[in-house]
Amino acid sequence: MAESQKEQSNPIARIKKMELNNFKGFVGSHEVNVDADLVLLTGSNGYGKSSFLEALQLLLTRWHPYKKKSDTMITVGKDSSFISINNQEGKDSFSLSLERGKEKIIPSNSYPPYLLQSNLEQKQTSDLEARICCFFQDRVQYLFDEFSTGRTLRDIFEPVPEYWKTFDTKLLEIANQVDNYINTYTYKMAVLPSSQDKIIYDYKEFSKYLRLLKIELDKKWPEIPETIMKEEELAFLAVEILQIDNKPLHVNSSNLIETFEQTIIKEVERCRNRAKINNQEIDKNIDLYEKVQKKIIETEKSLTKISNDFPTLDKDVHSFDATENGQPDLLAVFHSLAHNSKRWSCIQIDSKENSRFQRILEELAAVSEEEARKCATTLAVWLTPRREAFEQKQELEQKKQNLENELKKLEKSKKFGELSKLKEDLEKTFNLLKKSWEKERERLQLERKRDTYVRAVEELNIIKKSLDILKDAFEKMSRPNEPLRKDIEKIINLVLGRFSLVEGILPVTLDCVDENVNEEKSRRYVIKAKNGRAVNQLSTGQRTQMAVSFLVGQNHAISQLLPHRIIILDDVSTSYDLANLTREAILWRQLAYGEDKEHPYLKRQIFISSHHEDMTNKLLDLLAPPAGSSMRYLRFTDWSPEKGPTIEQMKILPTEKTDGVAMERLIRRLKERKWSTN
Amino acid sequence: MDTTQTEMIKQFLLLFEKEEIKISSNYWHSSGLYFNDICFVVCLELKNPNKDKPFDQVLKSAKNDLYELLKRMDYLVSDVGLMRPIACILKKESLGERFKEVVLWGADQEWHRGAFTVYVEPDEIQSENEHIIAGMSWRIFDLLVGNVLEINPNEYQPATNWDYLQKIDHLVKQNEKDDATKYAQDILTEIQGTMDLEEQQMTIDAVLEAWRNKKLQMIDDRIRGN
Repeated sequence: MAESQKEQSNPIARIKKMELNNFKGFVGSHEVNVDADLVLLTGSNGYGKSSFLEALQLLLTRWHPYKKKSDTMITVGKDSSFISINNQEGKDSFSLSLERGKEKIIPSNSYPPYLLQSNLEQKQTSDLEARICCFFQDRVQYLFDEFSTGRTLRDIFEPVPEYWKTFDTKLLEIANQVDNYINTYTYKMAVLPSSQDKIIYDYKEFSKYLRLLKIELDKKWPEIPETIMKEEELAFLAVEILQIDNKPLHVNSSNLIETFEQTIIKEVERCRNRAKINNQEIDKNIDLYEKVQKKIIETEKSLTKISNDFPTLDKDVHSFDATENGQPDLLAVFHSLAHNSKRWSCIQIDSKENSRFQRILEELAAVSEEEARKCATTLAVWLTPRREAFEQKQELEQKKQNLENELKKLEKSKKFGELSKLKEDLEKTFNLLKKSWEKERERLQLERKRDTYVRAVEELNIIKKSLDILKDAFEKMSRPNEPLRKDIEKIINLVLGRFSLVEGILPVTLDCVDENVNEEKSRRYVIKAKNGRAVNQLSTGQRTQMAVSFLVGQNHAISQLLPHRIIILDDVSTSYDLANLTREAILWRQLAYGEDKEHPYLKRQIFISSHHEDMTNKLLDLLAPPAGSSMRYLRFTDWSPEKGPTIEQMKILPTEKTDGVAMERLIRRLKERKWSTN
Repeated sequence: MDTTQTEMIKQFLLLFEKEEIKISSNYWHSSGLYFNDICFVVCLELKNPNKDKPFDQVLKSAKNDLYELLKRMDYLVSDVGLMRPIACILKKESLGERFKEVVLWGADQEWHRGAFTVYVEPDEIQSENEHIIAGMSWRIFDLLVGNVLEINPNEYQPATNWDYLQKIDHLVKQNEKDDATKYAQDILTEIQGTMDLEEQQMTIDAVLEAWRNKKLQMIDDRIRGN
């Protein structure tokens, strides 16, 4: 601050001349005389008024709204731009150049100092310098602290020293880390439930499968205990089993359990391999096995039924067979006699042989075809179902034989499946058992270390409390300066009080708000109307009045620190109604024409632009300079791409002289009461 | 305030007090006249209205009358070659309970067309400014001179690194004297140690991190049984 004050011992009070070369619409070189208390710029939109004021803003504050695109300010088609101002004495000149393709603005050696010398040189983005002296209608909201992206008024009067700025966030970060440690150790020192019941259950499950394995083995394993309470008991069992397998390990061997597990798995795999047929068909065969089994049962049922229906089937079916092969059975005989005996009995045989056949023919003649048929029918009724059953029985017996053969083959693959399942179960249950034991071991270990963790958490809580103490102290230390806030609030209300405002606006309140902007804490003032409305909830006109009041209020508040006494107002009248125009004019007259010998630093050189013809004429009347003061009128009459703006530069002379004659005349006229309406 | 301007205002006041200059119309009479380089301030009071006439009509006529009066003032001032904005202050007490309606005249652009500005002010608001001319109300002073408040930078000297350290230390010491307070003071001592080293100053983050690491290492060692 001391350095700043030293720099500001001779602030710029008056700009006499301004030069613009290829700056925005100012094509070529333009020299403008601005040597007056108040400079009024008028002209249609697009003729260069705002560009003129932007150049002035850039020279005075080094801030422009184009962020990294400073090229935007160079006239289209030109490579560089140059602007300069001459101050009151006419000898000091401030200038700067812009070069296309280069972001950096190149200032001349002499230059208006920064308001915040040390900070702003590092933070070129700060708009505070501009916000405090320049009003641009199209950027009204950026005039408020709460929308600023850079430094604020609080940074001037109550800044947190750069060294301390990250103190509270770092304390918070460390407190969070300490919290994490506390949580971890608190978990560790917690009394965990015993896993004993789970171990008993898990062992029971595991031992069930171990016993199944034992049955399958071709070697003699020890008895598998029903229950095991301690890990050592399992170790003893493992040692015994491993001894059988010629693996002499001790109960304390580090690889005992691992070896035990490997051995079990190896054993079950060995059993399974014996039963192995075709790995790929294991599942399929298991299903088939069951199906074949079912079919055999069904076949047996059918055979039993036949046997029950015909208990002497085998004997019955062969009772009437011929004793020798190739001979017809009885039923065929009966059928043959029934069909042929009569014909046979009538056969005429050679006389020589007649006597031999006579006997046959007589016998045949004695046969009754009808009776033979009846015998055939009777015999068929009895014999046919037996023959059918016999045939079916033979088929079923063959089928059963086939199925039994198939089953024998499949029996081996079923075993494979069962042993595979056993392997899975053994692995799964042993893993569960190991986990339960691991958890129990961890619990016992934690139990042993519990006291150490309790002490660690106590210590961490003390550390955390110490961080809180520091954070509280820092917070108290960084609290907004209440008298300062009240002062600034009063200043703003003072200026706002001049305007005609609807109810509910005045008095405005100013709140101090700390926010993070661009990863850095920003300490701001936030304005609220009396009825609680925020800036962006106000009408355009109200917001403009608020912005102007904030600007003038801040500008006056820090009068003694300002590097210049210039106020730039671009199109400020546009949002005003006629009711406030006169009030506004009085304010600008005070700043430009007011003389206060005790506070000379309160005087400002004012630049106002207006594009509205009626408003301009009204302003010309209202801002007409009194004797001893000066005003310049810059009328932007045209603009061309070749030459840029055409500016008529006029000096507005006071209508009165300093001799006081006009004043005497006024008093005389008042005394004469020639003005009276009654 | 510039002496010439003060004299100008005083001259007007004197003439007014001697009743050499006075403004009066059917509805209004002046309670003060002020003039300087900034503006011409006319203070008016509503004359005691005719009780037989409805107050609505009184106010309507008084509004028209005020317009005429102030336009004449404006003409008079510019006619003698003095271009000044005209500001009129109406005495609130003279307007009775319906002063709020009159307050709205100031915002009635159709009526005044920006030729003058009107404020309604109570009598009692006196300026707090020590340079005030005796008897001048706050609003009159604000219009003629401007109530400017400036913040004296000497009253708000920003705190230095050392100020912060000392004040935080002071606040920390107000806590109960336990281990946590002792630790907080340890941190401040570490900070002070680095602030002494002007050229190789550690950032405050680095100081805090180093302190944290030291403490956590101590706890870790204890847990490991070292």
